[in-house]
Amino acid sequence: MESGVALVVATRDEANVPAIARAGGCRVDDDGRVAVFLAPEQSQRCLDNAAANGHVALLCVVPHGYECYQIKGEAARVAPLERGDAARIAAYRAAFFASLRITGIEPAAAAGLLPADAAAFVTLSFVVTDVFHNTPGPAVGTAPKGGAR
Amino acid sequence: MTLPIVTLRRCLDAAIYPTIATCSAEGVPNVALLSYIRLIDADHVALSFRFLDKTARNVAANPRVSILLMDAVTCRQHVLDLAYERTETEGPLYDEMRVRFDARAALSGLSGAVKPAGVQVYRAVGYRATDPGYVPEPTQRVVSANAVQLLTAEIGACEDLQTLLQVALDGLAEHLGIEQSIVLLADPGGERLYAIASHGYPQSGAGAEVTLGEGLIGVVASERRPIRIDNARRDQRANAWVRDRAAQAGAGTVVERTIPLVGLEGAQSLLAVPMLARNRLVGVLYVESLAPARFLEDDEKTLIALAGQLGTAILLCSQSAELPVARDVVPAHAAPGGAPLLVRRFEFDQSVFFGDDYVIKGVAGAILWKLLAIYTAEGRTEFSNRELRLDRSLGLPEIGDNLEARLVLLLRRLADRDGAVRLEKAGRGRVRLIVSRPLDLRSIARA
Repeated sequence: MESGVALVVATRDEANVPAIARAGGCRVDDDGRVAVFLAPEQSQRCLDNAAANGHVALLCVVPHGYECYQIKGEAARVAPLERGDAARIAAYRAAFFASLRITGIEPAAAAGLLPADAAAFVTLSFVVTDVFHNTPGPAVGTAPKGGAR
Repeated sequence: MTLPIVTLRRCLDAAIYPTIATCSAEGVPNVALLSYIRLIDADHVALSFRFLDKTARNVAANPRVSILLMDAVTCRQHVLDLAYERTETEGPLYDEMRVRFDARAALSGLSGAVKPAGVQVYRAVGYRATDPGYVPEPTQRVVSANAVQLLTAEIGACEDLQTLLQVALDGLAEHLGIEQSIVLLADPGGERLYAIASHGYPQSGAGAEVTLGEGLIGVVASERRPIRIDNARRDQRANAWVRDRAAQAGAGTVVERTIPLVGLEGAQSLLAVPMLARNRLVGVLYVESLAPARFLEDDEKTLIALAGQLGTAILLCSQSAELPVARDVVPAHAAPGGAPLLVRRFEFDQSVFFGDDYVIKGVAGAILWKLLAIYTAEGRTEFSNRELRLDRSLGLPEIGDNLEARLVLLLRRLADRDGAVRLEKAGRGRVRLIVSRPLDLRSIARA
């Protein structure tokens, strides 16, 4: 999850209208909380929703072959970056852009997908409630091997 | 809400990893990869999801969805907010979506196994680009109307099938920058296509057969609809098809009585368009490229129009009336020297082998055998289409015999082999045999 897989976050507002945004990396904390890095300029609605009601869904997509997992979360909190996060964001950005090569996109061309400056990001952390296998195919929606939390 | 239709049409064309966010009635958000998205008009978008039961259940309970798109050509990122309106289970929208799913299923050998439930129509309620400050380099080519006009004029001026195919495929490269292309014609029996011409490969691959309904080209022929794949390497099924085909073509060996279809190893963009004339399937025009998202909607529409013209032109050239010619009186040539080439013809399938190498079968095999037999008996090297057409032993159907196409196929197949026997056009309605070794002809009767 901390490599170059594509990370997409969904939240919803009080009227259950969903919002969607790309995350610029993530961090798994010792207490089991997962934190993703979002740039408010790209994802203000997502952040506002999560702060208001705590519900988050996170999709992790391995670029080759569409393998993906969905993580459901609750008790979401928005906070500033912690020590080490800027390096995580830079490393993720490079790994994610490199992973796009398989689709023919060179890292330089992908530059606009995520802000280059780590200072543009905040963290959205949440408690994981479920993990689902989400690769398009008959196994979608099942718990992955190793068990879901 | 009005969507920026020009920007989005291109973007949806080349979208990679489109993802959809929905929310259940209980307020639990869900996010998943979206398998199908098309722009209908400036206010409406069509979506379809297979296997995404949770997404479908959420939409049934709550009509609002949000979609994140990334444009593979400019790398711009867009968010679309939509509201569900209705589901269509028939009609043109449904058909287009079904054919695209069928193509993918066909590529993995599962033709017809999975039937998508329907196509959902959504109204646009919001749109924004997530990177307003980022101005990407415009990398998109625009199909020039001038180039299309030049190409259609060149195609329209062709008088015979061989020239027509050459001009059309050379023209795709010269005017539209499409370097790799193949024309396949439908067998009169309606069960197969055979490659008759190609551009941009080491060999023409003429004579390679494709069964209707199998693989990308076969599905396009059976469904009579174009299919485009923008990123075959990302799609394991499309990828496997490209790889297997290219490996077969590159192997240089002939497996029994088949000729491999030429192909680019690692092709990313694939587009196959049916050629129709008088509501009949004439064949398929196939193009491919190593670049992802090389063929977008404009290219698809241009190729559909060109394939229509090409289909009609091929039909006309195949049926063109020939000038009546007198029985050929051509002086016999000096017999070539060297070791004789063993030529075997198997009666059961009309296949012809040079030594141990398979050359061609069926009607084209019967024609080759007849030419070689006359050459051996009389020393004659020029033949008129008319005498072939009148020869009942060749098994040509009386209507729509496709003789021209068979001759062009034979000519290219022999050129690919670059061996002791070649065929060339000898003026309108005539062909000339060029033989550089003595021939030892043996016909193998049916067992």
